[in-house]
Amino acid sequence: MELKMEGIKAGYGDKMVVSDITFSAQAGKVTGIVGPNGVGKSTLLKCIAGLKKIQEGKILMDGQDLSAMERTERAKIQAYVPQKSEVSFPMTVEEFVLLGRKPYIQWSLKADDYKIVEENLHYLGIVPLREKYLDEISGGEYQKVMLARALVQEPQILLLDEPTSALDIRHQIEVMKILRKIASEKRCVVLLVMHDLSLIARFTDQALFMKNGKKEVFGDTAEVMSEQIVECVFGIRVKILQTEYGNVVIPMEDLVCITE
Amino acid sequence: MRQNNKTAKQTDRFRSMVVAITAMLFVILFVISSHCGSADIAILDLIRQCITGDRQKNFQSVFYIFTQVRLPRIVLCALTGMALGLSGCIMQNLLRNPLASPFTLGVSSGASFGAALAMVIGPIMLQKNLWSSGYSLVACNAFWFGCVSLGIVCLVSKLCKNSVSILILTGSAISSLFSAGVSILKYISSSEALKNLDIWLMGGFWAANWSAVLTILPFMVACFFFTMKFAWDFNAMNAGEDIAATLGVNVKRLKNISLILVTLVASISIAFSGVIGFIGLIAPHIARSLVGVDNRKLIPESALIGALILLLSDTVARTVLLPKEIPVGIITSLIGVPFFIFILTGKKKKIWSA
Repeated sequence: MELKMEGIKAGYGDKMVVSDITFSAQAGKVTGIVGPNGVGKSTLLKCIAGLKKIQEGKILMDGQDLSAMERTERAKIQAYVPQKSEVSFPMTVEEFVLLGRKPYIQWSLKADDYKIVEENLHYLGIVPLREKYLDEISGGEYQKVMLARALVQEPQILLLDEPTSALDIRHQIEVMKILRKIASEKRCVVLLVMHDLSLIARFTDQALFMKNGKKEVFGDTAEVMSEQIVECVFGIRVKILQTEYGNVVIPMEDLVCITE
Repeated sequence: MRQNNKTAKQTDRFRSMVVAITAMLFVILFVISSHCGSADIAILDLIRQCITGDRQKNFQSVFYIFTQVRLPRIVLCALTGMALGLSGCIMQNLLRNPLASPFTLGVSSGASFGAALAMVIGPIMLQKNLWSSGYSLVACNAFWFGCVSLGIVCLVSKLCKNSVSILILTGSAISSLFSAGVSILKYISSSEALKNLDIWLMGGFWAANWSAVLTILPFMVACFFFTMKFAWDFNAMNAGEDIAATLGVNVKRLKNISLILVTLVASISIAFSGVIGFIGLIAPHIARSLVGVDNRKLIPESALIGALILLLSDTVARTVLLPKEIPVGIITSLIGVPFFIFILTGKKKKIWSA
């Protein structure tokens, strides 16, 4: 299975935020979208999620055009976890995760729905939280609940906007490991926007580096992630250290002017 | 694992039971309420007389009072309560705000202005007192101006890209505008018109009749079935608009249609009864504390709680100071506020997010 972006162009009004984005992400792999603040990463992710209209281009899942799909059908193959989300009225973890079954539910909840929720609560190890309210749990637990809600949609594509940005170092690693597990065990296309370059280096299979709303480079993370490309995209010199736990990106202090 | 599954289902079933119990309470209150009033009416006796034909001397007048005065009033009152409870529930869901009520978009002040216009300008123009002779004109005017305020709010928010904060802000701005209008009318009106207006603004069901009931009923039924059909969409909205959209909800369409529908229903119901605002705010909160956030139960429960509180208030309003009546809005607040605070403080689980 392959999620293919072909010449995506989108923006607000006349101003294009992203343009000419072409790349493809495979099932079973974790693909990262990288770039400085305001480069259009989140906008691109929203386009892929169907939250924002694309002005040009196509998003194809195994040749099937996602933007032409019916909303509910699309929700059955694609799930999105936003960077920030808040419920307006308190819900328990279980109630929240059940919402992920929305695309499949007509009116009443079937035994199947409960079963899938149950399985995913187990899968993410959050069964003890089921009765808790969402504002009673920690940030790490919250992120897992968000993941569980997305997983009960039984998606083939999982989109995440900065899944680790609010987490401590342990939970960052934990969530990234879960995402790798999801990609390989559930044969999902996992596509995420992330800032932490060391996590990108260590946990993604492929990476898309963006600059000024355009693709700078795309390829296997191990190949494309270099000191030159980081300097070119972010405008800061870095050192990439190879350790037995993967590559670590260390920023140096010289800021570099980014050329257009 | 199976044990836990059962628990989730049991909670679900328990909450359905709560809705059923509320419905039963409502029916009981309905019957009690039809007993109470300035005229003594024993329903069972009345029914017996109807069926057996063994009619007492005053049967005609009692029958008339019951079917043409008391019954329409109780039914109208219940429907208004339902309309306010339901639309409050939907508003809070869509605007994702616990302070939202059916009147957040300025409908009540629009309607007040419409009613005031009919009461103050009407007698001058038509040379008669509309309060006594043309109650329906007051209602019509209230309704149309309620719609006007909704229209303005929708237009402005459309220009500003449909953001929720803009919607709420415009609503309160329009409210102020129409309140100023009402103040002007109060200032220039005669003392008689002023009194009528004040009483209307307090809310009451004096002039209830079957045609009012028949006007509200179809809107209420349509609104109920529409919102229930989209109950899961409203549930998804609780997780935020982005998540709802990626769960397959057409957020824009859902918001537009249901905001207009519930505001219309609220507008129609207060056109007949005057401004009874508070119910639309508290009924959904009380319902939420009883049945949780699942709209399949929350929507009917909100409607029932709204009807319960309003019917109770109205029954008290027309019986405590016999033969005088108190405007129902006063009683609603007197009964509703303490009950509401009791619910808020007594519940361990939170009714709204911290």
